[in-house]
Amino acid sequence: MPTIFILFLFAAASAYIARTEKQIRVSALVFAILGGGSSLYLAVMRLLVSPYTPVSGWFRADMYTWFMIALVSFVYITATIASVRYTGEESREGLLTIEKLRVYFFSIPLFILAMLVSVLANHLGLLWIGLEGTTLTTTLLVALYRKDASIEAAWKFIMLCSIGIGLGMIGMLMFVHAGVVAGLNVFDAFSYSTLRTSAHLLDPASMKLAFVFLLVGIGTKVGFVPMHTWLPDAHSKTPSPISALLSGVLLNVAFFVLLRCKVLTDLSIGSSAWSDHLMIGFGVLSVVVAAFFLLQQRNYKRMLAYSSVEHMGLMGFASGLGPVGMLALTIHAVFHTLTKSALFFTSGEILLSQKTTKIAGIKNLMKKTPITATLFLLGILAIIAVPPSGLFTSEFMIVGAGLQSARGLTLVLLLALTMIAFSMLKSTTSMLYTADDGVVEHTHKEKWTLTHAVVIVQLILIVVLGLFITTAPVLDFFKSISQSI
Amino acid sequence: MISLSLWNNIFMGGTLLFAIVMMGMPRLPAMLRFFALSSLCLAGLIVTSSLMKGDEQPYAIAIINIVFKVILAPSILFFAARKVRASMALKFYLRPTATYFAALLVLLISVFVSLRMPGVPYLSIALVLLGLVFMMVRKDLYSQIIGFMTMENGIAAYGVLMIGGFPFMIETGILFVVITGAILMAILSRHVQELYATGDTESLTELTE
Repeated sequence: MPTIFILFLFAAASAYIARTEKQIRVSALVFAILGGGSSLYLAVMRLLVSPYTPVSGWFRADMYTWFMIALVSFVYITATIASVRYTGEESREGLLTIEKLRVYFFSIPLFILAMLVSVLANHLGLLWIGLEGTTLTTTLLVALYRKDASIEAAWKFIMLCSIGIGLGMIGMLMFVHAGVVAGLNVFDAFSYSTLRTSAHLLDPASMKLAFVFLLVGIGTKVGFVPMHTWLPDAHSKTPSPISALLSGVLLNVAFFVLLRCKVLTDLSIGSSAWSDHLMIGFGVLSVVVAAFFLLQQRNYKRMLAYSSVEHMGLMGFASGLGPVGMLALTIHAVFHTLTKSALFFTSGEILLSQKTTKIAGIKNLMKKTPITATLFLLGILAIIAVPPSGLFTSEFMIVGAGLQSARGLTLVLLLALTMIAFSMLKSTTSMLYTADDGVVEHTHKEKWTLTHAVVIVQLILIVVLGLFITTAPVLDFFKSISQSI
Repeated sequence: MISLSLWNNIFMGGTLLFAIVMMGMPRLPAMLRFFALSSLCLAGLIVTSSLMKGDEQPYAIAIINIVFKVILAPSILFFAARKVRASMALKFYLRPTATYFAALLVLLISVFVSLRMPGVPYLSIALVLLGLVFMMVRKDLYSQIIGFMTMENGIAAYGVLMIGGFPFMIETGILFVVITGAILMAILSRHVQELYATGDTESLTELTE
């Protein structure tokens, strides 16, 4: 991994070494394929061939870690390919100068590196640096266009996420203090692995208090309601490939960190019931609030952002449902990542062709840009869990497990999910099929783009994986990942 | 001869006192000066706490704290404000007297919390809460940044008082991340100043549902 980390640093540096816009884009693509490809290959090999778990003072890698690395690396590659097309078009239109392009391709590899450090970190201090690093490396991307709305979004993003991660740091330090009180030396008390093996020695009351700080702090980064307010603004104001990275993988990375903290708390308390209740509560609240915001949504990028709040809520709910819930959330993470990133890539194509993010401003898209419109529709169907999308399987498992342990809340969740499906379909059909008021002349046919190719690959993966997800070997594979955390 | 323990208490008191005084400052240079003094006392606290715990070399961490929080962060904010000719008079929801009253309430709440939760030191809770309250009672962007950094001082105080500080590499990493955050916030506040001709957070109202 250290060699791959160095590749990411080279990738960032190349944005300032390259002279022309074309060179910047090509070098970013080459480094994404090299760096992202290597880490993806390594992660897949670890997952399939040798589930080796190296542990050191600084880094730790269980199967779930490799699973997260695979997701991050995959979306890094697809987002860079989509970025080449997206930034090329925006540069032609004069929206991106070469300086902004440098900032764009400088920040992406550092952002990916920060996420990889966060998922690999065993030392809690390093974990905090990685998490805060993800905020810092994306702030300039949120503010890239330097318009009033993007500056406002970036300001909210950095302030809320930094405060959240600051509160998370207090929680982590409480873990460390509990370790020191239990007799560990300071360096060992900072080690997640050591804390885990000594969990039975840690004071349950301190661990509970620490988890509350972590839930509120890292929950801000996850996008749990009511700490979610930065998310729709930031995700809707960034360039679409970055929104794909933020929604598709960053939220999952933060959720993974929260899960690790939950496991540690559960081990010290001796039961998961206490933290399960908290996760279920935040999960249901997030889904319900997202449902109401989606009901009156007027901006399709914000619609996708609120859908991310909903899916993080679903994953939170699932994490409180025991082993079945953990399996469901692992499956959910894969399909949410693939689907949401594909949807944001497609939304970028819509923005490039229609020049607006307002739902009311887009009409008859199926006729104007049939390829993009079809891909967007397929993505929306997948995200609202229409089979064969794997989200159907994961949500079916979540509802099944929920009805056994929290019947009332599961019914509320089902109602909210129905509202969300209805709202998203209504907005999508309005964009795709509403007739134009005036007569529109079609002067050119929609061209096939790199982004379309990326989205189609992701949609094929969603369908193929969705069909195979219920087979015994694939399910066992996901089960072993979910149990490894 | 003043004992190490007394120095420790003096620095603890100084960290808190300067943070409270800072809350009522109506002008940017004065606010930054009191934040720097509070951070300087925190660096002193790091030294005395480490010496009391038997560490022989606590100075490196204290020095990087001074460089980052006492010198760099306030300077960056001051020059960022001066570059865009931002008003040095800060904007607030609560007048200084009312702000001091709020700070007093925060101190009382901190006493209550630290009594209920023995694992959480008083200084740390007080600084985190003062930082949060400061962000709420002020309208301008620079106060928001300083409020956040005061919170961060509270977290650092927790590390010093409860765990005996962070390993050197991690402390440096954390400070680097915090100062990078402050620089980014300063860049954003410059853009806000240029776009709206004011550093008032009330101008940031475009993104609503």
